[in-house]
Amino acid sequence: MAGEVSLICQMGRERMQATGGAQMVYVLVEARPNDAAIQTRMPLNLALVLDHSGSMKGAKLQAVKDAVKLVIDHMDPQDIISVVIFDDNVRVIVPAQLAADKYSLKAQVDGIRDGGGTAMSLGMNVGLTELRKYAAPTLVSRMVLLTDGVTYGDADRCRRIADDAGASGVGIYPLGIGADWDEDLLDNIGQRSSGMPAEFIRRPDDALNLFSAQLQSAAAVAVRNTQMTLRLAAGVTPKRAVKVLPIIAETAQNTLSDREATLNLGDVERATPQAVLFELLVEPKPVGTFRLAQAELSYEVPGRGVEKARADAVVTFTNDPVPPEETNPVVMNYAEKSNAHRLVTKVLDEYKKTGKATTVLHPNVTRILDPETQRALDQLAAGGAISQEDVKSIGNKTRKLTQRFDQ
Amino acid sequence: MTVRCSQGHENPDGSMFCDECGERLDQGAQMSAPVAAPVAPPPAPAPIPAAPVAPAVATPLKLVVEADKAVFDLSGKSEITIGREDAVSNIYPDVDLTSHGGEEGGVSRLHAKIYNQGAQYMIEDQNSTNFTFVNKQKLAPKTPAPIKDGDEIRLGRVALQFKTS
Repeated sequence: MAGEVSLICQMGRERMQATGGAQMVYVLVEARPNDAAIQTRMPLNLALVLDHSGSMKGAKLQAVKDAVKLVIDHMDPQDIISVVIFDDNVRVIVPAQLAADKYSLKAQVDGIRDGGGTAMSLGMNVGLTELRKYAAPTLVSRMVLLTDGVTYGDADRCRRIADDAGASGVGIYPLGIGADWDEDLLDNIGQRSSGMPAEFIRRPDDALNLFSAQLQSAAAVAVRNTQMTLRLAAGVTPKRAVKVLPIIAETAQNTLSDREATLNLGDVERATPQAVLFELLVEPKPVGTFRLAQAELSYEVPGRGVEKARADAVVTFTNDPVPPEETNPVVMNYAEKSNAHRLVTKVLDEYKKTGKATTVLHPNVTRILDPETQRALDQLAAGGAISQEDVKSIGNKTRKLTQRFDQ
Repeated sequence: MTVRCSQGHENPDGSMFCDECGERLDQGAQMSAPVAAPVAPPPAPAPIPAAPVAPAVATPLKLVVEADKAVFDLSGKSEITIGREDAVSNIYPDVDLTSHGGEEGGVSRLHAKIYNQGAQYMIEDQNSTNFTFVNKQKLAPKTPAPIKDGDEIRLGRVALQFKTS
């Protein structure tokens, strides 16, 4: 039975004036899980890969150990857990096993001490090995990767492992703690593996919440290996595809070809719609109604194979001007926020590379940001400096702009 | 065909926002014939430069946000709208309180209007959700009330001081 996920297309404007020139068309494609059609919780196969390098010493390591013990407490006995720690070496603290004997599992976590340097690829590699011992299409296999520092000389190896993990259906969910981790690398690892970009544990106290959130998200997985494809009619080229729900993420330009755009959405979780905003350039059209694109969603229902859903993107071109009030406010809101995210990211990237930010943002970008972000951007615009923590926090918050929907 | 933002960045026709600076690109702007009301540049939190084309009253006119002491210089304007900017609903008030606690403070998008009748300034609540108060007195919606120099105007929970000196 299909129907676990519905696919819905909303146009920025359903009617447009035939101007005789090329025009931008906005299409919001949303994959909405139907909670009623989704069955029981899938068992989890979770690997916690933890940095215990010397810099984790003290409150940070203690907070992480407490958070891991809480995760163990909340796992079901038929879930699988493994715990791997790394510094410049790697050690399997808990080999992949059922999360049944919680007392002894927690005792093993308690034994973790701070150690040497940071060689993240070692930890990732061993974590993936532990996950593969039990990996099956009926399980949700995920790696939670925690670090507080910059890995030494093995960033490319980390990326390759992320690709490998993605190919075997393992999403990586990075957590950065403190101010010194490399957000570009961690975000990249998350995205390459069809997991999520990094979450920021700003204070040790936040570790409990973020680890719990990881567990809840894994337990809510409804369908897996979700792919969204937008097939384009002749005379329609994709300019940009931005994931806007559950968080904002630009997609690599190579997902866009002349004829179609394909995005890997990974797991779709219960009560968490996924949406992509496509910006399409449409060659001049005569008056009439046209299907500009067709969206297709394919997803795997564990134990039952692949299901598909489709929806059309249709626009009517008219001779008369179309009043601005006809613009779909939902689509416009996502366009505004994804644009703000892109521009803020551009400012941060420039600042990270050159120590300066020359891009000037229009007030209607900055006004939708929170006061802390506004202040930091003002400081940058005035030629000032901001802290590493601000850089991470702004990046993290700007990605979540669409979670706060203004009326 | 392209549409330009106020900075002159070029964008494809039909773009909702400028790719370079994020400015909203009004649909009216892309058509060949200029449309009546192009989107005014949203007010910056800094004092707004006055445009004394035909000053209604020669006296200075200011609103000062009590919490952060931000000053909106409105000298020369004959009608002033106060609220929170919202591009989606196309509302661009003269005094945008978004970055002055407007959202948390319960300021409506179009909250109140100030205008003058001769030398007398009047304020009118625009059916706001959390009401307009002058010197702690609640105003009836859509009913003008006189205000003078030094009066405290409160929109929801955001207090402003009205100054004509």
